[in-house]
Amino acid sequence: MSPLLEVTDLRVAFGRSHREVVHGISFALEPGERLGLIGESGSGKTVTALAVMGLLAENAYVSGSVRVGGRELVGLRDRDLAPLRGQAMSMVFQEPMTALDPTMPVGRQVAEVLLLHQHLGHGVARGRVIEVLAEVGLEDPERVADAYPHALSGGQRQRVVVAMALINRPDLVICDEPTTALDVTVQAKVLNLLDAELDAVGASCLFISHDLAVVSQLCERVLVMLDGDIVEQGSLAQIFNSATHPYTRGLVATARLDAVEPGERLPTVEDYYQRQVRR
Amino acid sequence: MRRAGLWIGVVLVAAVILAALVSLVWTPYNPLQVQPTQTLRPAGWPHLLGTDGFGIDILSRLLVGARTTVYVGVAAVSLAALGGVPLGVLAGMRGGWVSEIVLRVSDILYAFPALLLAILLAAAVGASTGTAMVAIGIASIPAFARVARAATLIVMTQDYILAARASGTSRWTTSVRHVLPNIAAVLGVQASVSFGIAILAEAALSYLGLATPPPTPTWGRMLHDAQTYIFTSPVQALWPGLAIALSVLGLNLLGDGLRDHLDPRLREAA
Repeated sequence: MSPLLEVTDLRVAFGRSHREVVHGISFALEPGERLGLIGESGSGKTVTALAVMGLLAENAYVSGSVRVGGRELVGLRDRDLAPLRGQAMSMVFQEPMTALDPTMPVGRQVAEVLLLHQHLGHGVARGRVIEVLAEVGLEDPERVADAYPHALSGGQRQRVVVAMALINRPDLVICDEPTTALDVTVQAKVLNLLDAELDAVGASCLFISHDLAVVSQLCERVLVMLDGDIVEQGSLAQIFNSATHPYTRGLVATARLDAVEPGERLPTVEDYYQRQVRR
Repeated sequence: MRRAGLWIGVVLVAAVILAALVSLVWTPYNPLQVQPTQTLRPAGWPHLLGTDGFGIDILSRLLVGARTTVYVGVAAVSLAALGGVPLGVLAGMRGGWVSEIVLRVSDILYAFPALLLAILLAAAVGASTGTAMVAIGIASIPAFARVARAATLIVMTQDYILAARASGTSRWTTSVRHVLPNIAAVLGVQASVSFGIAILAEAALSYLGLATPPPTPTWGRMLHDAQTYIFTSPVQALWPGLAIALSVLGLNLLGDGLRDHLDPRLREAA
């Protein structure tokens, strides 16, 4: 089976000085697979995700290859890419507070994603929106559909965002730290929801996080990204049991808090990996 | 307190618009009729605000003058918004050289005084209400472009813009559906401030004889005419001056009030 998403030697640089932040990374994602992309802030995770979506700012220089379903996306014009977004691939964002337009009822925002890619009557679209809002576990979906984002809680908003990402049954869903802004109980609920919904839709998922514990709940395989390079990749078991890169070992230690004796200092990544100051 | 300002603004602006509308169907006296026997009457009965040096009823002239004020204000602000907002949003969304060009062009326009533009236009096509509208409108484009660009830049950093784009919304649709509604509050404020500036500019231009030609009454023209009697009958200048000041004040209060009112988050909190 050919991979659904194939990234080869992806490089991203910014600005007039062409400062490179992603240094030629390669990975592949099989249909239905869930791949975790883990790394700290500034390691290039989000830039990688946006490069796949073709959503980087004008001052970004992307080279290498991104293929989705065999189709090359790097170098494609925006108007050719737009029909793929939301249809073949979609994205769940980190901040539920800002990922919804404050001037529009959330139902209309979800409907917009649907209507962009399918020609439906507004009545049909609304019915489908309410269906999907119910699917993502929102109580009283009719009322939620007519509510403005500020009237919803963070967890409710994130469910709406998930509904937007999944309503067109995309092949690939990129989740960019979808639970980071949520408290732990809501985080667990949203993760369960994502798990169930991804299965229901049969979508592949590129799951970005800085938290190995979160990634391990959802993904079978993990990429570890550090300063714009993929330093390690493998199955969850490999990463947990036989990580070779010291940074990965640090991540594993911080994800296994149950292994820490009471009273002992909690491990940090720095115990395992000291960054060289680069000029 | 904030609400009070908004309501005073609404009342003042409504009064100007009402005066303009009323003047279309009724004025106490014919605002063009010269009555040599009735010159410079003090305020009272039957001329509520008195008469001017030609014996024309001042209240009637004020009412008809409001019409020109509203015409010019609406037309100039619409022209400025239609020209400035798309440019500003474009500059804010695209950045780079597009933004540079828009900013430099608006700088050039900004440096060019509305008055000078009006004099040029008046010399080229003659002084008229239209000349004033176009001159004030063009001169107000840079303010709209800058405000729209600044507001768009802020909106563009929000995830919902990225989310809309990630859902396959085109740049154009994104700008209409997500950028414009989110900068509408700021633009509304700018519109009412610009309206106030346009009223002042229109008064200045017609005072100088560069806008609506006589005999059509305008507030600026009335000020000009009152100048002759400033020592004998100073109250002549009071009425058009008051009309101009109160409408500008009303528009500024309205703008401030709107800014608070249009923001859905603030609305909920209030």
